[in-house]
Order: sequence, then structure tokens, then C-alpha cells
Amino acid sequence: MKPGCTILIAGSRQGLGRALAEYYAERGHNVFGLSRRESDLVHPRYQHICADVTQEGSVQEAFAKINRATTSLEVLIFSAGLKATSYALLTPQSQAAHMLNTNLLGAFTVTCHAVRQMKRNRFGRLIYFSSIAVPLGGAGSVMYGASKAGLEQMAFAMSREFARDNITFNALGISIYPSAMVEELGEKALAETRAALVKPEMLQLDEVASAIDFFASEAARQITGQTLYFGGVR
Amino acid sequence: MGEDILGMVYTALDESDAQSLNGAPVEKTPEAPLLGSDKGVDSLTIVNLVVAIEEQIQKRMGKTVVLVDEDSMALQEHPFRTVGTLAAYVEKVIHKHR
Repeated sequence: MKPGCTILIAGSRQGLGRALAEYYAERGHNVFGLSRRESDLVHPRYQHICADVTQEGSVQEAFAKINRATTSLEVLIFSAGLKATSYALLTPQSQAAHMLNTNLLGAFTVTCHAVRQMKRNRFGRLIYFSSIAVPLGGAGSVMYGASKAGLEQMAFAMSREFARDNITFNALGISIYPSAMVEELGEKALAETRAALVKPEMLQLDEVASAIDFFASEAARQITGQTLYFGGVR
Repeated sequence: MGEDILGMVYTALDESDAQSLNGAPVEKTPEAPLLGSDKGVDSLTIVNLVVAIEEQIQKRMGKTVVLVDEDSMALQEHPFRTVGTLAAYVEKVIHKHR
């Protein structure tokens, strides 16, 4: 990633999104963060905006603030997402819909607003967090995996629509990153996931950041519509 | 319809034409067809045009608007039929944000 980039992280209040917001602000980038609630991250190069990605009006208001603050949004990292381990027949329809609304529709809404600036500037790098749940297809991850597979397909199709604008859309298939999501999995499910991976170690922040830096670089202009999985699965 | 709105759409047409790799430039008259006609433009040109108009509104009026939303899609007459219908629609959107 070039120095002094303007980055928007959706889902920056906790977990990987929060860690990345601090990581990039510390390295001299200008970071905007979105989440429903306030963030505890205080940094001169970090600006937090409360927004609900499932509500178009809320996202629109957030982008009105971003557009007033900058005209050079270069990178979007979509980290917002819900994870609920739940077997299909034990999943209420409302829970399934909420997951799709946040993980997939939320990404679509934020993307549509972000690419407007990027299109004008003829530069944009959009990076989505997918999951190894897509290739592994584990029991209990039906709607989570479906939402992430949808995200990958969205990135692929968007890459075609904006190919002429030097805007790329890629996804990272996160394996196991130490966060509340992993804690919620439980020991047994975590052990099963580890057993299915070629590389079962917990991901480190700099490992994820190095993949983001690659996708976000100018040199990766011809890498688009791709998903890069951690953990040795595909 | 205000002349300035039509002028703004014409400026946006220049910008979207500059980005277009193929196809003839859209004629700058209210009757010039956009979508839904053999003589019209392709959907990607409309995408460029939408972004260019939103940018013009931002530059000239300091307003952040989104042209394509539930309301525009629910209209009986598609706002992107001609340059004139588009300009009339843009005027409505701007009025809504006053």
C-alpha cells in the first residue's frame, strides 16, 4: 500500500477490523472506521463514524461525512460481519436474514457508496473478508458460509463492472484469527476447524495486513475478482 | 426545468463521453435518447453519467445525493429514457434535498 492512503474500514469497532484500524493509523495512513457503536480507538489519524451497514440511509449519512472530510478514498476493507454457528433447522429465518443483511447486503451498500469516489479518482482497492467456511462448508455455517460465498461472487462481478476504472475487488478467506468470533465457536468446533486446515495456526495481524497491502498496491492493478484463502484450503 | 440543471447534465455528459471507449457522444438536446432505445447508450455509460451528475451536484451545490434509489426505480416513467427526462429527474432529486 502506498504511504498516506485513505482507508475506510467497515466493522472497525472490534476484532480484526479494530486491529487493522489501529495498525494502519499507526503506519501513517488516514483511517475512517464504521460501526454501529462508538469505538474506543483514539488516534490522530483515525476517525470513527457510527453507521449501521444494513440501513441505506445510515450508510448514506456516513458517506456524506466521509465525502466532506476527503475526496481521496482509496481503500475499503469490509470487515463488518456476523458469525453464528447454528444448524439449519435450528436457525430462525429472522437470524438468517439478519446475517445476509449484514454480511452481504451491507457490503453491497457500502461498496456502492465507496466506488463513487473511487470511480472519480480512477483508483480503488476493495477488500472483503470472506472465510474458510466457504471451501470447508462446515456443518453449522450454512448461512454464514452462504453470505461469504455471496461476498466472493459480488467481488468477482463488481470487478467486471469497474474494470476500466482501475478499481479492484478482492476477498481474503480468513482462517482463524483470535477474536470474539473464535471464542464463540467453542473448543470442539475450533478443534474440528483446525483439523480441516493445512495450516491450522492462529493468524497474526501482520499476516492479514501483508495480504491487504498486496491487494491494495498499485502493482496489483490486474489482480481482481480473486479470493485468497489462509490456512491452505481452497 | 432550470437551464442550469440541463447545463449540469450536459457537463456530466462530456465527462462520461470522455470515459467511454466506444460509441458516439450523446447529443446535447433534451430529446436525445439514453436507455431503452436502439439509438441510446449502454448501461455502463449510464453508470458513468450517474456518477458524473452526482459529482456535479456535489461541486456546484455542496450536496451529497444518490440518484438511483427506491424512488427512482418506482417511477412509472424511467428517468433515464432521454437527456430531458434525466434532467427533470435530477431537478426533483435536488428539490427533495433542499
